[in-house]
Amino acid sequence: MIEVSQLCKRFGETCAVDGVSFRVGEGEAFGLLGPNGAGKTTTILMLVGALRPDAGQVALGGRPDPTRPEVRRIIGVAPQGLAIYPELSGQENLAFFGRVYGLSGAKLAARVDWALEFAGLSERRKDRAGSYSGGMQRRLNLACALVHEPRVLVCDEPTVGVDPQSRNHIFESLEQLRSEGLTLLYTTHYMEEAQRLCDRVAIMDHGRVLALDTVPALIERHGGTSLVEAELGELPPPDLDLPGELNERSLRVSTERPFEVVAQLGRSGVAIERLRVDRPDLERVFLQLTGRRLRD
Amino acid sequence: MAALLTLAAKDLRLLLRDRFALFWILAFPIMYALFFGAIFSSEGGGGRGSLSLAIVDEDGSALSVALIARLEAHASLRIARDRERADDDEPTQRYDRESARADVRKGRRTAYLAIPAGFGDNPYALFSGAGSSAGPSLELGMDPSRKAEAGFMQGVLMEAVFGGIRARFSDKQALSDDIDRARADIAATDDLSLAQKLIMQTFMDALGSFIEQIDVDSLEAGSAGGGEAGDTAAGADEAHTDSGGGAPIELVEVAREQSKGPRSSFDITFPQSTAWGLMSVALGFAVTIVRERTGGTLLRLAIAPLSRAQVLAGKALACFVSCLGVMLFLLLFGVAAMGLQIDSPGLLALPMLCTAACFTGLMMVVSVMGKTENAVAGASWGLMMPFAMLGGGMIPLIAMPDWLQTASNVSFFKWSIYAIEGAVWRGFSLADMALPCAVLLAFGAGFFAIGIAVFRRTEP
Repeated sequence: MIEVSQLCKRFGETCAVDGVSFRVGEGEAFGLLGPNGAGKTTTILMLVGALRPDAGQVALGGRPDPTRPEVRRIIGVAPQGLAIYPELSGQENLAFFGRVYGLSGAKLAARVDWALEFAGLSERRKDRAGSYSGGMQRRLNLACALVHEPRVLVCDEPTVGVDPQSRNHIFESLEQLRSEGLTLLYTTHYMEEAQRLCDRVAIMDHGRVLALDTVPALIERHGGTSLVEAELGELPPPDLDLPGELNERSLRVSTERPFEVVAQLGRSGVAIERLRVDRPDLERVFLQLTGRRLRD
Repeated sequence: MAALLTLAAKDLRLLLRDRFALFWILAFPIMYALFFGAIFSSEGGGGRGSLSLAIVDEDGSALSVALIARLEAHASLRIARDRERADDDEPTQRYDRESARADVRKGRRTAYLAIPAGFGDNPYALFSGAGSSAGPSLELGMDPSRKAEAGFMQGVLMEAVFGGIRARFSDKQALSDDIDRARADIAATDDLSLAQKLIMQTFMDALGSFIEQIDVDSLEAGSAGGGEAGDTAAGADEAHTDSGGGAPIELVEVAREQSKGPRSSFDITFPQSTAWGLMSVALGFAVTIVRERTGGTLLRLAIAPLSRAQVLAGKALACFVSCLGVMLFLLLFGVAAMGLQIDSPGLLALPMLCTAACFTGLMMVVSVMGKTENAVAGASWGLMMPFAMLGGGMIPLIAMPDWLQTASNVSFFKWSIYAIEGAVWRGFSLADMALPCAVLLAFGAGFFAIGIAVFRRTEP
C-alpha cells in the first residue's frame, strides 16, 4: 500500500531525512518511532505529497508521486497540529473536509454522521470546535482525516497533549479501525503506543531508520535480557543454589527466561518479600540503538 | 469548480463569524463616511457663495436692481449676471432665461432667478401671490432633486423681496408718489361706481395725510433695534407666511443633465469609505492564509486532492466576492441612508469588479509578507496606509492640489476611488472608465503574480 524508497530531504545545512526506505502492506499498522527531531514528520509530509523530496520515491496504492492530487486521494491525515477551524462547528468542519474530497448529498451526510459518532461528538455536533476541550478537538482532528473513508490513515503524533480519557478514546478508535482492515501509519515518541498498536515499527533517529521489524523481533534482537529483582525475607542458607547475584537479601538475575527464574525461586522455598520483573521493551531497544532515551 | 466554491464558501462563512473583522470591514467605513461627510457638509454650507445663482434681469427697474443688490449682499449666494465664457476672447453676454436655464441644467449654476419685465411697475403686486393678474412673478429655476437648496434659496429670495417692500414703506416720497398714482387710477377706472370712487379717494387722502405725519426715521430705528439677525428672522417669517398664501416666486424644475461635481459631501466620503473597507478585507484574508498555515488547516488542504492553485483560487474567490460585497453594501447604505445618488449604476459594476480584482491581488502579496499573523498585520498596515493616504483615502481627491493629484497616481487606492466616483458623480463614460480600470487590473495582476510566486516557495 505504501512504498518509500531512499527518501532524502535537506533544509539548508540540516539533513532532516537521510535515505529512509520502508514498505507498508494493506491492513498493516506501521509505526514510525523516534524522538522529536528524528525526521518522522518530514518523512510523513513527503509520503503524503505535501513536501517534495530531494531524492527518493514514494508510491501510494501502487501509484508513484503523491504530489499529484489524484494519487493522495486514498489517504487521510491527522496532522500533529489541530488542523480544524475553531469558528466552525464539528459538523461543519467534517462537512467541509468531506466536500473537499468530493463527497456530497446523502453520502456526505452519512459520512459526517459516522465521523461524529466515531469521535464521540454527536451530542455537540452544532457547537463551535473552538468551544471543545483539547481532547475533543483532537478527536475531531482525527475524524476529519477519516470522513472521506480513506484506505490509508496517517496519524502524526495524535495523542500529544491529550488527557488520559481522550487518549484512550483515540486509541480504542484506532484499534477498531485497524481491526476493520484500515492501513495505518502511526508516528509517535511514546513507545508503549507503538508497542500496543503496530505490527511493525521503524525506529528513526537523525533522519535515518535504525531498525525495522515486528516489535517482538526488535526486542529480541536489540532489547537485551530481562531483569528479575527479588527482596528475600531472610538470608538464604549458604548451600542454597540461587541464580544471579545476591547482595545480602537483594537478588538480581539477568536472564532471557524471566518466568523460569521466578519458578525456580518458588521451588527453592526461600521467602520472597518483593518481586519485580523488568522485561525489555522498545524504550530499551531505542536506548540500545542510540545510547539515549526516547524522551531525552 | 465544486472544490473551489467549497473553499470560498468556507472562507466567507469564517469571515461572517468574525465580528472583529466585520467591524473594520463594514462598521468602520460607514462611521468614516458619515463622520467626514458631516464635517465636509457643514464646512460647505457655511462658506460664502456656496450657491451659485444666475440672474436674468428682464425688468431693469430700480426695484429689480435693488433686489439683485440685496441678493448679492447675502453671504450664501454667489450672483452671476453674465454667462460663463468658453474662453477669454468670447464677448461677455448677459443671461437670458434660455442661457440661464442651460447653465443650471449643465450644473454650472445652482439656480437661476428671472426678474420679468414689469416687476418694478407695481411693487405691491407681490402681495397678490404668484400667477395673479396684479403683476408678473419671479421665476426660480432649480434641479428638483436639490430640495434642500431649493427651500433655502426660496427663503433667501423672500427675505430679499420683502426687504425691498420694507424699504419702500420707509421712503415718504415714493409712498406719496404711489398714492398719487393710485388716485389717478381710481379716477380713471370705469369698474367702480361713483360712490365707491368717493370712498377710495377719501381713504387715499387719509393715507396720504397719515404718511405725511409719521416719523419714518424713528420707525426705521425701532425696527433696526433687533439688528441684522432680527431682520433676517423677520424676513424669513414673512416669506414663510407669504409663501403659505401663494408666494410671488414661481419654481421651475430644471433637471441637471449630467453631474460634473459632487452633489453632496457623501458623494465623496462613501467612495472613500470603500477603500477602508477593502483594505480591511485584504488584510483579513491575508491573515487567514497565515492562520491556516500556522494552524495546520493549510497542510490538510495541501494533502487533500486539490492543487495548490485550487487552494489559492478558493481563497482569492472568497476575497473577490467579499470585496464586491463590501463595496455594494457601503454604497447601498449611502443610497438608502444618506441619499447618495449613483449616476451610472450599470457602469459602476466595472470599477467594482476591477477594484475587487486589485485588492484580491493585494491580499496575496500581503499574505506572504510575514510568517505570523502579527507580522502580516503589521507589514500590511505599513504597506497600505501610505498608499491609502496618498490615494484619497483621507484627503478627498477633489480637494487635492494638482501636484498631489499627480503623485497619487502611484496609489491603487486613488484609481479605485476615482473610478467609483466616476460612476457615482463624475459622469464617466465607458471610455473614461477604461484608464482607471486598466490601472486597477494591472496593479491586481502584478500583486497576484508576486504573491503567487512567493507563496509557491513556502511550504505548508
